[in-house]
Amino acid sequence: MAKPFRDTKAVYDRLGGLFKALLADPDYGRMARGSVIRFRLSEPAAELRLNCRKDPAEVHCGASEGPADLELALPATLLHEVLSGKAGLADGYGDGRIQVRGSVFRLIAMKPLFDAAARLYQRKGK
Amino acid sequence: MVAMSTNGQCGATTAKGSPCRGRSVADTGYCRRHQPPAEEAAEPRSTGSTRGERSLREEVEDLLKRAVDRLPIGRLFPALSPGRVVETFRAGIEKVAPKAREELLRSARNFLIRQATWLATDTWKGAWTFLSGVADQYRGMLQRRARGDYEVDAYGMDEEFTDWIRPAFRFLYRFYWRVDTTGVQNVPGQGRGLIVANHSGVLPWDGAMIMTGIWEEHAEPRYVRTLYLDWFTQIPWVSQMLTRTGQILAHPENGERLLNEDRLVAVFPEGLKGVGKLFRDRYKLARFGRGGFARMAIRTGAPIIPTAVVGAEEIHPTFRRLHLVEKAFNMPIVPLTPTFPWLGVFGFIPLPSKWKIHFCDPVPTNRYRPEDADNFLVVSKVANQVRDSIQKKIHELLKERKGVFW
Repeated sequence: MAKPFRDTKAVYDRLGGLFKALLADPDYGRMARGSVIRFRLSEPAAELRLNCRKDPAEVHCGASEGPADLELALPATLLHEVLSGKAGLADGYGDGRIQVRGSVFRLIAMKPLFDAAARLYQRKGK
Repeated sequence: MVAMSTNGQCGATTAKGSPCRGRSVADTGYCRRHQPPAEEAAEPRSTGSTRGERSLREEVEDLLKRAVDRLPIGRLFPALSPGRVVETFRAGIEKVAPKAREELLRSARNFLIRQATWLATDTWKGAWTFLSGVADQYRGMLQRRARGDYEVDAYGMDEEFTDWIRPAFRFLYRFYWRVDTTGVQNVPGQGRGLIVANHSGVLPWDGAMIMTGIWEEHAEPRYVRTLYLDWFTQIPWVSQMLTRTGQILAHPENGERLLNEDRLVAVFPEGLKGVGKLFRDRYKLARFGRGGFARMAIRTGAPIIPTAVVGAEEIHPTFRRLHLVEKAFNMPIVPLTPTFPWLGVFGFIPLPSKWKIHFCDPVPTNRYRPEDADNFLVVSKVANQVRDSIQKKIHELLKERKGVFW
């Protein structure tokens, strides 16, 4: 299967752009309000930090320091599959492919945001 | 009107209670006068239910059957099998007055449809997968940590451990001490900064709450590296806890090194005099040492953020210090509080006072040259300015506070 992201830059372009577009919408920004979410991706290695404590929310592409309310470590391919609707977030977590640091309940609360991101991702992919 | 159709006679009862003498029309069982409305007449008279109600009832029975069927409970208790539950429902719904019945059925249908997601097997399977995932991840983490497979930074801070205990600190911050934090925007989100706060409460809970306040309230949450007293290293567990959460033994070199690395550092210049303060001296700031913190800030050009903490003085109100015991056990502080030593280890449980933390406007130090750190007058000026800001803010916060516990 072809890799969805050629390199780290491709991850930042597609996923960084996706989350920036998503959080620019105040309705979606509200869903994650007050949270700092960090994605630590592998293959290719990349890091995204969504700071929804700021208004408007800020998306940082690249390594970042400091605590996050929710940190997800997962392969970039799996994130692509989750956003494409081919894999579930809970399944990925259940079988250990997604490592979570922070409250798992916050992960559940973020489901509507992931669903919205998936809709946007699929729309952009078409 | 009671239905009692007999041999061509009207089956209705008159208002006086006697049977109607009229003849029934076209086998409806009623005379012209007592003809029921068109729809009601088509329904069986015994139940008094309408066609709409009947379909609603069938729908609810079907939903109920499917809902109970999804739950494994019927296999364990035959009385709760789908058939029996539906029978019980049928018997129960018959007892409800016809007017209320339709309303009740509608509510039951809406409830069952709403709960369909929760009752679906996939939901429960998903929840089970998720929960077993949580258990696996925690088990994996504990096993990995038991093997010593975890990372710490140059100062011994273990970010994973810190994140793991954050919910406990969050609980204390939000629910136990109900901390009100203000002025958090005065703490820099990036770059170096020196938080200088008043110290109290025997154990360093004030440091933990300042750290949690920045985690929870700041738009750019970051780790705070507190410089702690060497006395805390003598208390079992406390030293390990402090090191793992990123706190460092108080020493000017440590502080300067951290600030030069553009970190956020917190100091409590009152030191032991602050934590060992008697209850009658509460909120009276002790001497700020020899201004070591000001020297550190001037040398590194870090802004100083004076911070006032109100509430920590009451968590372990010290009425007396047991100096003889302190000398005998070589302990710097052995306090006599309402709970310690009377309740033994339970005496370490702090009281749930109401806390307020305010981060005051930063005091810039970049207008001084690094050499000014050796100028006693400059150092005292900066130290006194910071001390005065904290004391003034403490008085303001005390005025705002309604009581010690609320």
